[in-house]
Amino acid sequence: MTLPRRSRRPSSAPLQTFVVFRAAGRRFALSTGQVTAVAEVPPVNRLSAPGRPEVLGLVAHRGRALPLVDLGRCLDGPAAAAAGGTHCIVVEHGERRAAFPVADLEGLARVPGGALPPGCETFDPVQVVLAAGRERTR
Amino acid sequence: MSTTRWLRFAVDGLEVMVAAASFRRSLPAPAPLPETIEIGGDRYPVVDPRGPGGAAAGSPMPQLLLLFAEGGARVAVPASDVGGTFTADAGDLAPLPWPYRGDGWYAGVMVPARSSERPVLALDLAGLLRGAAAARPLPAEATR
Repeated sequence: MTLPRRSRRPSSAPLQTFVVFRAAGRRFALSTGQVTAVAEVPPVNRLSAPGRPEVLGLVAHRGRALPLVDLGRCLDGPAAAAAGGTHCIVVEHGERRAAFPVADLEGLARVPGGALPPGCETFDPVQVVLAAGRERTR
Repeated sequence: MSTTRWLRFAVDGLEVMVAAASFRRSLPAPAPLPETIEIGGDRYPVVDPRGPGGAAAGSPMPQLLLLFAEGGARVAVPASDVGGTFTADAGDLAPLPWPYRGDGWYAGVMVPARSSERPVLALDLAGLLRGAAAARPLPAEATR
């Protein structure tokens, strides 16, 4: 007897977990593998960086000083800093780390691999948040 | 490792510190801030520590000028709030993170153990003077 072949259901794909948030008037999802930490926005020492308007200042996180970066400006969108969010997302690549504030932290979403949570965009934080400084290393 | 006493102060949301041994005196900040100020026969170039990135438009006028002298370097730094002194090892200063490297205005950053406090930038007085001199136009350019 030959059993009918079952089609593979999408739900059998491994699930991927995303951090979902709003920033710069848009809704984003980053894979948890791209996120080092989520924290309340620490007090900011408002040191600007020459030629880098997206850098809002310095914050302390786990014993390190991190630049706080405006994601909206990194994405060539409206500045997100004034959105009044209480949380920030920390990302890292090698020795390079940064935090960016988010307007609204929605939480975690689990979706099948290869998909994004509905209504979300995503970006590569290494390219968007951490890479710009490489071009202007003095 | 030697312990250093630091004077901590702020200018418009930027918190900085300088070795307290180099502090000479404070005086009300004249408006607008002059390029130099002469006190007791010594000339102090006035350098705004917000200078590398520029002060934000509409920033409040600093209330004080703090005078520092270290080695042959004299500099007057505007301040809006003086937070007092504290002791820490100079070796505890961390390098500034990547967007700031190369400025030379800061000797490093003191990172608090708790994230509920701000990191504080240690000003490099000689670096401030060099940076301010480089940023100012040459006299010939200034008169064009």
